[in-house]
Amino acid sequence: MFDIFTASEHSFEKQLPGETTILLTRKHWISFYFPIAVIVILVLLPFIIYVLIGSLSWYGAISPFYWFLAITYFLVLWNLIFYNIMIFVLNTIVVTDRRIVENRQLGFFRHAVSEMALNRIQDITINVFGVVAEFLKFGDIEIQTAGEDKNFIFRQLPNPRAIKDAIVAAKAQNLREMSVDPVSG
Amino acid sequence: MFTLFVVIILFVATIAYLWFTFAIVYHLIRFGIGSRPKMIALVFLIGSFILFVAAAISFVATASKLGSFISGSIPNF
Repeated sequence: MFDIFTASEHSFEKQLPGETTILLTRKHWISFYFPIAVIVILVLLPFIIYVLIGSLSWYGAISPFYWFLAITYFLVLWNLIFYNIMIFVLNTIVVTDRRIVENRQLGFFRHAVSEMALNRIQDITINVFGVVAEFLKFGDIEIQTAGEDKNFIFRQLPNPRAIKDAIVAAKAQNLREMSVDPVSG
Repeated sequence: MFTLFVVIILFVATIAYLWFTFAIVYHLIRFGIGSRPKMIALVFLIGSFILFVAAAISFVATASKLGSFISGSIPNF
């Protein structure tokens, strides 16, 4: 019953039969810091207002109504926090033994899925800008594909070098398997 | 009249809360990869339920007091 909270097979929607997930990553937490900072400030607002008006003579008459509004306000913020968390968690990049799949959740009922086959990758470039990015180890990965396919740019990924190494290794393994398997040649 | 207004507000707020909560939990469970989204959905659901119950209780307690206040403030012509 509780396997849903403990099992983590990294399976995803439209995973191909026999396809193995090598790496699952999301954006670095730094991309989330601004919404968190804003929401933390907003959470403190009712308490700040209470400090300002709590000692006034008419506060006692409106106190229940004030705290009803405050609780409703917290409920709205709670939903907003987890809406942002949902968007953050559902934006994933999955590297399998056959392809790279990028899931972008743009809203409740808007999402985009992009994928590229490993054997179409021509070049991988890592871009790390600034002292903060260097210390916190996040950066952009740009993948150039063969032919007229568009390039893929993944922004603010954690440990971009490790991700690049995983993609390179997966691509090498994929090429070996394709050269050995006469059917897919 | 005031009671009807309170009931309508409560109904609309409940529908909005249920829809928003369902949408977030559905997306995390359905599209989340791994166990972390499921844990996040559980934490969200528990916190949302607690806050909603607290808001509903405080609303009912406040509405009766507010209704008496408004009734007392309206001049009797």
